[in-house]
Formats: sequence, C-alpha cells, structure tokens
Amino acid sequence: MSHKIKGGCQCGAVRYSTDAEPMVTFNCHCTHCQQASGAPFTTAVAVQRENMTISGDVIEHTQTSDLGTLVHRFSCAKCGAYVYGISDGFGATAVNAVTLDDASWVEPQMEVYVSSAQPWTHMDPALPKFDKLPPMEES
Amino acid sequence: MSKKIEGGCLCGAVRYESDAEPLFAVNCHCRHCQMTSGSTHIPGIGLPAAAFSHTGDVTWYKIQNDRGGQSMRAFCPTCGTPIMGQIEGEEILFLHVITLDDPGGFAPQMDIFESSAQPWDRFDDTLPRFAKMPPMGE
Ligand SMILES: [Zn+2]
Ligand SMILES: [Zn+2]
Ligand SMILES: [Zn+2]
Ligand SMILES: [Zn+2]
Repeated sequence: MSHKIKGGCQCGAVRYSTDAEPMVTFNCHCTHCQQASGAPFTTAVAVQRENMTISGDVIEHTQTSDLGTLVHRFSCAKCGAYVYGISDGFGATAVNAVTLDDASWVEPQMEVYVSSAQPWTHMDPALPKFDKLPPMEES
Repeated sequence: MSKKIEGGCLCGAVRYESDAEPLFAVNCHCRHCQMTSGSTHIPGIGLPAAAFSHTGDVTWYKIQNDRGGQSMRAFCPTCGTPIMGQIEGEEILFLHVITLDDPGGFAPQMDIFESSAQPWDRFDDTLPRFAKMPPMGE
C-alpha cells in the first residue's frame, strides 16, 4: 500500500490522503490551471478519486473545459492555497504535487496543454509534450 | 511611456491596474509561492504599492517568512486565484504575472529561492539563480 498521496495546504486547514498509487504526474499549461494557480503551469499527480479522504473548508471554482466537461478547482478558504482539481469526465483527482507532505518522489512524465503555455515558460526538453491531452484509450 | 498594467482573477470579481514601471521581474521558487499556487514557482513583477489599485474584495493570508517577518498573500475569496504578495511593512507588491490580462511579455531577470525548489523543478539555464534573494544595495 502506498502512502505517497498525503498532503494539504499551507495553513493546515485542508488535508487529503489516500492509499491509492499515483496514476500519472504531469505539468499542465492550460489557461484554467494558470489562472487558478497564479503560476504558468501546475504539476499535478492524478490519483483515483474513490477512497480519497479530503477535509477542510475550500473555495470551489467550476469551469467548462475544452472537452465540454466541468472542471472543479479547490483552494483553501483560509490561506488560498490551490490544492486539487477534479474533472467530471475522469475518475481521478489531480492533487498539486507541491502540496504533498513529501514531494521528493515526484517526477513529471509529460507536459500537457502546451498549446496554451506562456511564451516565456521554461519546459524540460526531455519530457513528451502534447498540444492538449495525450491520446487516451476509451474506458 | 509605460504600458498600463491591468489584470484580475479567474472569476472577474477582482480587477487591478497600475501605471508604474515594474521594478523587477523574477521567478520565485520559495515554499510560500509553491503552496499558494500549487505550482513549482510563481513568476512575478515588483510594483510600488502606492501606484497600484484594485477593485473587488481580496483575502490576505499572513505567514511567517524565513527572515522573521510576515509575508502576506492576497487571493480572490470567490474563485481562489492568488493575485499578489507583499512583505508586511514594505512598499512593494509582488504581482503574479499570470493574472495580467496580457502576461505574454513577461521577461524574467532571475530565479530566486532556488534553495527551496522542488527536485523536479526545471530552470532556464540562461537566467541567474539565487539561493534566496539576490544581494541588494541598502
Ligand atoms: Zn489553508
Ligand atoms: Zn490544466
Ligand atoms: Zn475571483
Ligand atoms: Zn516566493
């Protein structure tokens, strides 16, 4: 059992954990991630939403993605830390890697939504890049 | 003549403007920037606080910084977008450039607080880096 996915915001009000293994780690350059974070991209770890425990007051902001699905983003109501997001189209929660209690194991595997990346963003040349999302098998 | 600085949060409740020239442009990798954004760093510009105005409520969150002072961060209470930071008692705002209506012209001069960068963080090798802040003339 993995205990990699455990973390929270900077003031401690929001906490999350799950025993599930991380599915994928990616840098997302989409416009919504940029606006929600105040940064050029987020490094997110996707993990199965089922059995995830999340506590604390959050600000929820919902937008429609380019795929037509609703994307919900959650920040701590007290300290403003942007902690995680979920998309109605996926069974995963994307937690922002820097909010993990131990983020030292994190290694992004790809850069997504590079079509909306800021022109001055520095990307790792070694990582695979996708204009939007990588091709995915239907589930 | 300086280009007007305009921007705001994701939901539009907070809007700001300034006519000031940015004092500096940096990528900050400090832990506070990381936790606020959920990202590895925040690109920001320094602006004189006196030359900056905003409309709409912001929530300020205060945290102890490593120099014993208080760092403050403002975010929109409706959508959560982190907009700017300020060190208590200082007259300079650290504006998060992503919240500009037109962030495309950002040209960072350096990376700061490399000492707290995440191991997977990637840097632009053409920019100078500082473990914390660059040395500053008093
Ligand atoms: Zn918090
Ligand atoms: Zn995104
Ligand atoms: Zn807002
Ligand atoms: Zn910082």
